[in-house]
Amino acid sequence: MPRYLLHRIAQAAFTLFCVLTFAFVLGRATGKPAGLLLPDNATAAEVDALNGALGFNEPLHVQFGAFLANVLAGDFGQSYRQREPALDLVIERLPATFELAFWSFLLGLVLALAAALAIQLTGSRTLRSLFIWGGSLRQSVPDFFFALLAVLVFSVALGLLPSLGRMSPASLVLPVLTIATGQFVLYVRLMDAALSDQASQDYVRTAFAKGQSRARVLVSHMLPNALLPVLTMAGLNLGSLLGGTVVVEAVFAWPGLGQVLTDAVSQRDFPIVQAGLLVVALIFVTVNLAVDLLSAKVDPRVSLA
Amino acid sequence: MSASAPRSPFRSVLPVLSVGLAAALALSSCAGGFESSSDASSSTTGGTGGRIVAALPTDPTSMDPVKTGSLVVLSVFFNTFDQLTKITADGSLEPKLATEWTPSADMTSWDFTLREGVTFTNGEPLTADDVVFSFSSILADPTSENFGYLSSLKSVAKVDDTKVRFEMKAPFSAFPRNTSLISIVPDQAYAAMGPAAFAAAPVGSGPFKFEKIQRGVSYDLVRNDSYWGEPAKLDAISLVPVASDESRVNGVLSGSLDVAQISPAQAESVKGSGGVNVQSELSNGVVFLGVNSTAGVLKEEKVRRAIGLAIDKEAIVKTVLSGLGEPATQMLAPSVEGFADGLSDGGYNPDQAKKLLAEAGYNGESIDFEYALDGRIPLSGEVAQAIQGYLSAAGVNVNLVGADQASHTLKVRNRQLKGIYLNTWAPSTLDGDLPLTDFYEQAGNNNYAQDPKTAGLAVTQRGVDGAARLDVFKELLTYSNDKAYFIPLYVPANNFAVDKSLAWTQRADGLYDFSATGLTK
Repeated sequence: MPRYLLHRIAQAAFTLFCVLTFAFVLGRATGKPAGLLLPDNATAAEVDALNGALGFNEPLHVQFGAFLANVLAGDFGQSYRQREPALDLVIERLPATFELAFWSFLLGLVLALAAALAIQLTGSRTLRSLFIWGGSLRQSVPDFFFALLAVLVFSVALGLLPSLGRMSPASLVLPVLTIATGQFVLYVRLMDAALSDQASQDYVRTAFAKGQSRARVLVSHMLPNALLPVLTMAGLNLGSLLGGTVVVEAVFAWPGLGQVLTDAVSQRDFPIVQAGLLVVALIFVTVNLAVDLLSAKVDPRVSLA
Repeated sequence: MSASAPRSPFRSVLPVLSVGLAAALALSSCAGGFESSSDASSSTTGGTGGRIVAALPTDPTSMDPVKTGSLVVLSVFFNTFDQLTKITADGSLEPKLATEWTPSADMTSWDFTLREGVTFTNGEPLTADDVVFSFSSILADPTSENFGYLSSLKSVAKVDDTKVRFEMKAPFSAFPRNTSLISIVPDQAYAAMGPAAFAAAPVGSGPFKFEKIQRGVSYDLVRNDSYWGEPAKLDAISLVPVASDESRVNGVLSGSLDVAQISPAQAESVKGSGGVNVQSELSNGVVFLGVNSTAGVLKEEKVRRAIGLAIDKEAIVKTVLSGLGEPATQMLAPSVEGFADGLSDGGYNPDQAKKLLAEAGYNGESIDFEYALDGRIPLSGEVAQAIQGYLSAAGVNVNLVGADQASHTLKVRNRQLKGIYLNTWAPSTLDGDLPLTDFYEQAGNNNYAQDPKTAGLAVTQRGVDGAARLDVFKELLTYSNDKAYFIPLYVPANNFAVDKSLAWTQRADGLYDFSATGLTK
């Protein structure tokens, strides 16, 4: 176990190094940013002076060395525009994104769980087709488009919910609904398949033989065993969930990580881009590790060696 | 039966899941949680009351007027700070903190007399010291976004408590207009707090004061009841950054926003819905084709002129922009000081264009046409394609190259454009000095021609005033058209979706000044 952990941590460190290098190289490939930071009538000398002050006139390998040394010391530099520590500006936005991702994840999972249980309890093939067909239909509509439709219906036409911002709990409803319903079909399929798998197992037949009700067998015997594939998939899916929030954040003007990152990219604010990508990568790596550890706990057959 | 599964794996996961849940909840509530803005009291004097929510196109970088001066942040500062002068919605220059200003005979220094009895919202009186501090802090920081507005300023000094003297590097007649963009901060408070703390709790002297700042979410302002001027009518304003065009339109239609800038393509659909007006006013900007007149076939004046004559600007405005704009005849918009009445750019004349191309011996050499896919020019892709269509109809072979706005801006800045390119200039000073310097002076980003005559005229206009200055502008703009150094395309309108209950006068530059805005019901 400790060896396994060490191995995984080394892997994670390498992944993060790659992400940082990638962010750095891509950023530098787009040119020196000072021209974007100064007013239109700034002189060439002023632009050059600012590029120099930001370190852009050094050779690339010197810049990269300095950048890595600073990152190791926990310093991502200052945002070119805000001139505040880039990492702080990124971390400031995490709660909003976590809030969106968490509630979406939870709602998607709960909806899928309810649907899968309903399918199993009733054994209805119509119900299964209905959920999977409906869910697939929803997933085939891009989140961006679905979000706009939801706004047009619930905000513009009906006037029930705010169309943007993060001013009240009501403003969570539409973005969460958008992401959760997009994830729904994935979880329904997984849970339904896993539950159907369990249904033919000996222990289930035994439980029925002992006279337990269908609902009881389903919830306390089959469900725990069916959770594993769902858990693994949900962990892997967290990356796309965080990625998906970027698009949804844009539609709803949600002040999360996506907003600050897209702003930073379009304004060439490299310190924020670098800090943001590292934070996202860190979350992704951590969640995947957690999922692996959790899988071992849930299912003793999973070996961590 | 309950004993039959004492070590259900499900149960061992539950604590882990619940810890995760609790952690996520704690995270989302600790730093971010929801706080509804406290409603401003509506019983105070002067106002007709009400709170409005206005959309900003991007999130302002900072609330520190010394280092930030981008257009979006001016929409906040015009409401919360005072500037020495003010440019009204119709473009004229008016007193604000300064009551009068006089130049020296050679226009190399300007004396500003300050209004008396003005206090900041922290009670500190506004004096010449604050003005000197605000301007000299910017002069001392070349990375300030305001530095470029003061490129002509050498130094600033206090004459007495109500008089400040600005020394120019060279004669500059339009300096008072540039001061309309510089917000005055309280010197003692700013020095004591430092830039970061000041940006978190800014203190101004404007018609509104800051109530609460939530970056990326909302900038909440309430009326400053001790304002020296006409008190504002509204109780409160929330300025909310909304980056997407679609979201801004839907925000106004659903009532989440009261006013927001929209794209010309959206104007028709908004007009059709009840409760919301579309306000369109001609902007202060010109969308133009820059021409690298030093490269390839574009060295030939006849080819450049042919490009201008081959484009039907009127049709572009009518079809692509839904009529929300007007064809440009020169490199300044009508609302900008320096605009020359009665100037012509030759109009749309494809036959003449073909004739000029033949005379120039143009043989279908490919010309790069670079433009930004998004950003400053709404519908830039459609406009670029329309231009390509007109040019190929005249026999000019162009190669469309799109890029994102930032890359395009950097290419303009580094003068790296090879053929023709789509660009725009909209001076918030509503004066021709800033754009024409950029077009025609030696160091100008858009100046490929490097013609000493245009550079000379751009300097001359700074040393003269009034009608004499307008004559210089006219000579410069006419000469530029004759040489086809630039091809002016159109003056776009700024289009806003506005709640019908809001009585708001739109500025030519599309920035927000809510000092005289009220609700009608």
